[in-house]
Amino acid sequence: MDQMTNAMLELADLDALSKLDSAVHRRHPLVKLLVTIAYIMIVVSFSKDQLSALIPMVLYPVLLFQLSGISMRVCFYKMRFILPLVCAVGIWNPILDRQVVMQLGALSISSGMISFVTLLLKGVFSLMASFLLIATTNIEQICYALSMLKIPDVLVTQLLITYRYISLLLKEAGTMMNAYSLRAPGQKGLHFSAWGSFVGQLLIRSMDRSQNLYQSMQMRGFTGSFYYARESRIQKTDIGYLLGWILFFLLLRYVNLSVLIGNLFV
Amino acid sequence: MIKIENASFGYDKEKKIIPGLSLHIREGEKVGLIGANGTGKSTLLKMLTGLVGHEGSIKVCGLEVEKKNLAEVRKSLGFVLQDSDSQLFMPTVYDDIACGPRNYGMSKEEVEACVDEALERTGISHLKYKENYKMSGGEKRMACIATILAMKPRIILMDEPSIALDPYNRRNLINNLNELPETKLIASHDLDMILDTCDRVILMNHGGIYADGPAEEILTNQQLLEECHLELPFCYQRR
Repeated sequence: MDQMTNAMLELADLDALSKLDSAVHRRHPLVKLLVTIAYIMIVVSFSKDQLSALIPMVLYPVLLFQLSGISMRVCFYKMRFILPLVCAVGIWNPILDRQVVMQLGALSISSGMISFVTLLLKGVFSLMASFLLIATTNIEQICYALSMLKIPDVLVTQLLITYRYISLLLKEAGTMMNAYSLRAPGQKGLHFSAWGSFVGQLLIRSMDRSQNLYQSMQMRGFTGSFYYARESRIQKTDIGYLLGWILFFLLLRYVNLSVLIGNLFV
Repeated sequence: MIKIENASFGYDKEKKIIPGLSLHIREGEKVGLIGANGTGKSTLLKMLTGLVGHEGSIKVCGLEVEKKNLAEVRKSLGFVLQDSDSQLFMPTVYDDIACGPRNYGMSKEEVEACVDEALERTGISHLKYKENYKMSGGEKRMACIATILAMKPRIILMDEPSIALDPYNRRNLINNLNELPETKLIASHDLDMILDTCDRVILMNHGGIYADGPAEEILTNQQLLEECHLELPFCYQRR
């Protein structure tokens, strides 16, 4: 199977995950979006040396993976391309900041190492929370939640259409790639001399397709906003879910759970 | 129903794709629009829907095709594009069919009724909640037709509806088209399908009307068709 088909299937997998039925899937999309935003904001608010306080924040994604019935392995597999970038963010910290702050037996832990791990965890936790949002909420529901937050229609519609047409773009790229490889026997990938025209052609095809799509939308009375998802009311359990998690995040933000647990054993 | 008087269109003022065309289509007519590649068939359909601008006069259901009337004009026209993937932009068949009625402000119950009726008329009720990307070419084509039927148009415009369909789905499409009572204008190179679905044929050449008459008469005139780089339909070639 070619790479484009693989990419398309992975997108379809995500759609399939969002159609599962679980306590998390059933929550109102706006509530899930707000909890995710709150979680990410609180995670990134930890300073670079607050590693021990940050670690308990893992409880949210871990619990959600359990409640939603989604495997954590799937999450890390889907994030395999972005995780190295997250690691790269603080890669120089251990080298640039060598001030020893802790001694674990013979191992000296520097401040740079701690800040590197903290940055790494912040990135991983945020990605896990984002993954959980899209794996438990389909794109229409996310767009519906965004429109409830009064995000301009033009942005929400663009997000929706872009997501919907990624598969078509991949299909176009796949077709072009197949046509190229049939005329480039024995060659691995796309030769750099063809990159320019390949990207150019893909852009032209995308524009052509987007124009057709827009015409079709115009013909069906499109005036700038979409009907994203079936309207749903926020239930009491949704409010409980939202408040519960936010209080939990705030608790973890201001009380160092790791230290408390550690004190129990010292 | 459709009245075009000296309408013209061109990206370049010097060289018009449609230099000046007049045409009259009456209610209930089933018209085939044929012609070689690049003769302006698709452009003419787009002019009717106001998707491209024009000079001259085009009236659809008594309304002039101009900016202030576009919403009303488009409500009475259902346009099936050549490429189904460009027409289906919602995640499922249901959402796609419901999109038009919702945009025109119909109530939930009306939308539901429109969707069910459109699905029934196209014979794809079983695909109601199917994801668009999981459908075959033939299913997508029928779903495209359902999306426009749900808007209850008075005129149906189609651009190459039988393209890329296998014989079974093509026959299914023809049968469905024949059951639709709406006025139809079908642009196609599939002359056999035009013969099966249309009473009247307009033969286009260089952006103008080269011939206009009963389908049987035009589609059996080998000389006329060859002058426009076309051939007799296959069913006549075999005889």
